[in-house]
Amino acid sequence: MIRTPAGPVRVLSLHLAHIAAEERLEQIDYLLGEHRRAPSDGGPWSGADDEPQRNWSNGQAEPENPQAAIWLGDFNMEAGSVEYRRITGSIPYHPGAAYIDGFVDAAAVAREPGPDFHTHEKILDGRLAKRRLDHCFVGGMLAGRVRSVTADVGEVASDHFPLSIDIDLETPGIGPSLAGR
Amino acid sequence: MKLISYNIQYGYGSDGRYDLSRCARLVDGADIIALQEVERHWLRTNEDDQPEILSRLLPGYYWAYGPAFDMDASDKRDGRVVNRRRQFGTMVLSKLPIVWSRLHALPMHRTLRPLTPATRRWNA
Repeated sequence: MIRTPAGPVRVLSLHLAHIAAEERLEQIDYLLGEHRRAPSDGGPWSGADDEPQRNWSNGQAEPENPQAAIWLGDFNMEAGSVEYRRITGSIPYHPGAAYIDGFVDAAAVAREPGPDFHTHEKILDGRLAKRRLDHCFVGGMLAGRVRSVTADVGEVASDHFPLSIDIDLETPGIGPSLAGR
Repeated sequence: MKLISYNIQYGYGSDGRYDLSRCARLVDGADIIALQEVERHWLRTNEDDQPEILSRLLPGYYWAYGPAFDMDASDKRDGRVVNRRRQFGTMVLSKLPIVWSRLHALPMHRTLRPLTPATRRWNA
């Protein structure tokens, strides 16, 4: 959890399974469950100090466990896949709509849509497959803050390319009801 | 703010060269960096402590390491245990403090057969 000028945000670095969609779906369901529990879960403190004589708080105030979240990582899935749709939902008649406890693909809501890009290259069945396996999903309350999403295509320091997201986390205004305290 | 997500493949490039400093240069300057495939104490990477190395290469960052994979890699020298863990996982680096962090171990399924070109063709 990081306190940005916009408000506290949970930032996750994720790496999902690389073989079966069904395995990734179980992992996504677990993560969505954790996400929706955040307001009542309370984070690592899980509530008020009931033994003040032991100084569990270490003299600090209980930190936030905000609903606001950003998922970054290697999801081993492509846009439009069943796993991708489990995260973003299906809103065929209202593109751009966002639920308060749901996620949107930062690349799909960016104000400055960049050129199409991929984050991974591999020979699959004799053909060079250029796939976007790395993603950034932002909670619905952050959907209007994404400026751009790009990748450093061609970098050789790994078998993936770095994914960069420009997002306004400077302007205050993530509602206090989403701050998780 | 600039965020970066990067699977660094434990510092092994697509050119077959192991060099963590290349990864560090690519992410340096971002406000929040989410890395995947960061490891400690593997033969293939000189038994390096990669979170430690990356934190030295990126001294302006707070960081938290999440070792989803963890196995004993200890030695015993002169009757004393030199405790070490062979680990593999994710890392978050941030210019702003990481107030708290939690590691979530995701549900997994054991594979019985490795992924081979033959099975890939079959599945395709």
